[in-house]
Order: sequence, then C-alpha cells, then structure tokens
Amino acid sequence: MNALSEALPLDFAPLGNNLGFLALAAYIATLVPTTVRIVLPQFKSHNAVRWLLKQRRAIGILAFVLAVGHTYFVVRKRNFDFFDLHTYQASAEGASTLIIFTLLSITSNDWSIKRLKKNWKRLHTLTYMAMFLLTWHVINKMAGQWTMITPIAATSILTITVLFCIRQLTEFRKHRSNS
Amino acid sequence: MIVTSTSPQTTSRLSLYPTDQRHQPKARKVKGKRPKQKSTIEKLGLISLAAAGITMLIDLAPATIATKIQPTDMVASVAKADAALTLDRQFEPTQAFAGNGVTYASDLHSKKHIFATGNFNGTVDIWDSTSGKLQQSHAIHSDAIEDIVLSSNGELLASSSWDNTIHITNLDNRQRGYSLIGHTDDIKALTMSPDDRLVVSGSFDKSAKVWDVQSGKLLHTFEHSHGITSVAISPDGKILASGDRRGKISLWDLDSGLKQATLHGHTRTVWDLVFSPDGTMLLSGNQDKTAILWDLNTLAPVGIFEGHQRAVYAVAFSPDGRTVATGSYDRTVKLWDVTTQQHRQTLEGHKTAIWGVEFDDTGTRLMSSSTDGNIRFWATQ
Repeated sequence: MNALSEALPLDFAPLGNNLGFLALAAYIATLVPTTVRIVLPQFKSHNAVRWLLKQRRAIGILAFVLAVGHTYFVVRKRNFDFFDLHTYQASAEGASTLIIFTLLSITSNDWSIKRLKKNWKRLHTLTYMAMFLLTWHVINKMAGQWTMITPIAATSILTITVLFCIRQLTEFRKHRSNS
Repeated sequence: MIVTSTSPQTTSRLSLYPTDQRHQPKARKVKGKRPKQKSTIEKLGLISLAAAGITMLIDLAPATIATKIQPTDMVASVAKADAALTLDRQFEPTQAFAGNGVTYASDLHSKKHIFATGNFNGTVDIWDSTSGKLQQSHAIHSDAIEDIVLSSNGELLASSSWDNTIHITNLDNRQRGYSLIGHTDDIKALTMSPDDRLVVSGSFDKSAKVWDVQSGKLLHTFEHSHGITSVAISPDGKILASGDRRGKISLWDLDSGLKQATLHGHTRTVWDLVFSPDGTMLLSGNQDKTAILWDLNTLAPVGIFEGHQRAVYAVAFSPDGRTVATGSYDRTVKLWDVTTQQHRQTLEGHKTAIWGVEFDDTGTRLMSSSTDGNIRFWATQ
C-alpha cells in the first residue's frame, strides 16, 4: 500500500472506541422514550418505546458499565496522569460525563428515590447535561480521526440533542399558553 | 388483593391468591417469597458488568513469562579500565525553556543547534537550542503527538500521534510534507534509521511498521501480542527493537523482516528503548521503576538501574556509551555509570513527569522534556 496516496477513508475502531459507542447507544436509548412522548406523540404507544421506557433504569446502568469500560481502555493507552491537572483539562468533557453517569447509576434504585424525594428528580436532570457534554466529546475527540462508527455516533447524539431542544421548546410554548 | 365475589370459584379467579390463603395475614410474607424476576436487559447488564470486571483483572495481571533477574546476572563484563573518568562529570542546570503546553515528545539536533517538541495539541515546534527562540511551528496532527524524531541531517522531522498517523515534515523548505497512514490505533513510538532511509512506528494496534521515508511505502509489519510502546533501531541500521505494554522486547532483522529474539525481564510497559552507541547493548526503561541493560550478544540482562520512585519513561546513552540517563514519572533525571551500574547524580527541576532525555553529540549537554511544558538543559561544568 502506498500510504501517501491510498489513505483509508475510515479506520476500524479499537476496542475502547467500540465500548464508548455502545455506551453512547445505551445512553441515547434512555433518552428516547421521554423525547418521543413530547416531540413525536404518534409513536409514544409503540411497543419499542414502551419497552425502552420500562427498561430505562437497566439500560442506564448498562450505559454506565460500558462507559467505565471505555474509560479504562482509553486511560490505559493515553498516559493518563491522575495527579496532573493537564490531563483532566484535556478530557474535561469525558471525565464530567463519567461523573454524571456514576451519580445517576448509584442513585438508580428505589431506596435512593425514597430517600432523595424531590432532589432525586433534580439530580437526574443531569442526564440532559451529559447529552451536551457527549456531543462535545464525540465531535472534539474524534475530529480528524473518524473511524467507521464515528459518523453513526455523531449523527445519533446530534439527533437526540436536536429532538431534546424541540421538546423543551414545545413544553415551553405549552406552559406559556396555559399560563 | 382484589376480591369481588364470595364464591370460591370466582374468588380464586379474581384474587391473586387461592381462597384458603386469603385470610392469612401473610400478604407481605407471601409477597416476599416471590422472587422479583430480572428482565433480560438487567441480566445483560449484570453479565456485562461481570465480563468487564474479569477483562480488566486479566488485563491488569502481570505477564507470567518474565524472567526474574538475579543479581548474579549483572556481570561486570562491560566494565572498562577508564570507567572512572565518567564519574568526574557533574551536570548542572543551565537553561530552561517554556514550551507550548504538555509535551510528550522532544528531539535534539546538536549540529543545527535546534530541538523539536511535539505537543498535546498536535503542533510541532522547532526551537533554537541556544537562545530558546521559537523558529518554526507546524500544526500537523489532530490529536496529541507522542513521539518525534529528527533525521540525522536535521532536514526532516517525523512525528507520530494519537490520530493514528505519522507525518514527515521538511524543515528546510517548510513544506507541509506528507502523512503515512496504516495504523488503526494510537502511535506511541517512532524512530528513524541512521541513514534516514527508514522510519519505524510502534502502535497500540499491536504492530510496528517500517516505512520508506522517500516513497512513503510500507515495507514491513511486525506484530506483538500487545500494544507497542517503544521502538529503536541499532546504530548499524540492521536491528529493530520493539517493546510492548506487557514488558516483552522483541528484536527483528530489518532486512529480512524476521524475528531474531525476545527479551524477557520486564513485566510491565516498556516505555523507551535505546541502543548503546556501539550497538552491543540495549537499554529499556519500564513502568516497573527500573531500566535494564541488555547484552545483545548473550541476550541476557547485564545490569539493572534501580532508584527511581516511579515509572521510567525515557532513557538515553551518552555518545561515549559510559553514561546512561533515565527520566521518570518521579520528576527526576538520574545519571548512571554503565560499567558499575552505580547511580551518579540526580537532576531535579521539572514539575511533572519527564518523557524525554537526550545527550548532545559531545555528551556534555543533556536535554530533558516534561509534561509541565518545560525543556531543560543540563551541562557539565
């Protein structure tokens, strides 16, 4: 292969990236039911949407487990220095998302819901912050080095983010017209 | 509990429990006896959690094939009568230059009085090694640069990055150059043959690739069973040494592309490799806080440099082959006598991990680079 001219258009993704992609897919699956309910109400009774709603907690925990796996494989190869602030700055959005996922996962149980009461709902709105962080994470980290799964990941997270914005707008308009 | 009829038949149909159990005040107890069914996705989550845990444990376990180095193996066969001369040389700090951010990669060219740094943001900077003035800056890679190497004539610069590419830049005409593409994971190490004809890259995709610098053609691919973290070419340009993240060092014949030997001694990541100037020895810096000196005739370790508190990220031989410098995560550079393997001096000043050490052609000046962004020079008095 003449490497000067015959560059591969898209690389095969290493294991760490694949785990990150699966974590992203699981995370998006947790956002789909509530977003579809508002933005695309004609689909809210669809079996797939109902199933996702029913399994949302388990899928969220699965997303966290996959994200931990992704972090492990990336940290292993990226000279991550836990005692150097520079490395946290370089991975700020990834580290922040993992912290959010951790908080959400450890409170994804009935005991935490009873214990935290209203604060539980407030805490779990952090999932929407993770959406924006992940959009930044995918686009920033994969810029200039797209693999075969990057276009799917970027399109998926951008789509769910746009749908979320539409949902917020719809709810805002509805709230305003009611008041 | 739903009861709408007193008829036994109806009751048993509508109620959750049979009639004879209805009046037992044991609803809670009976409920407690029914195990909550886990959904498929919950089972999948638990299985993946267990699988991830097992994978990480296997991955973290030390390699079992490593040979324990006995102190008796450290023969003084390389000792020379004039070794004491090197003990007189004491290095002192002379200059410190602030680079552009986190630096994993650096290279020094004595004749052209320049040094190059590869930065976390993907840029390569060329500096005047006397004044510390920035001469050139090239935005090349889309991710961090982990290794760079200057050709022996100082005309070409090769850089390798986490964006999976190698880039060749011509420093004389400042042309953008070209990329060598073929790796599928982070490129952790890079080296150039003494005749500047070949460039060798080691990647976390478990392969080391040999490229022709002029044509960009891929000549050979050498495979490891784990990610490659260091590569070096012997001074005669015939042997390639590659080290991986599980401590294995392989020696390859660059002409035939065949493996010659495997050196077992480390159990963890081999961060850097360098041949002695006469090509008879190989020095490896490791995550296990040591650097091992290998005799390439016997393929056995002849010395072990122990003293760093943390991982050894960088190693270098002085041009006369008598002194070895090691840079570590513990922020120090240590100098060692090759013949006696005695620690001679510790150089302190960097604020974070040291990723590069290199002597100049005279052996009287030493350069060290750190992730604190500083390049420091040390010289003998």
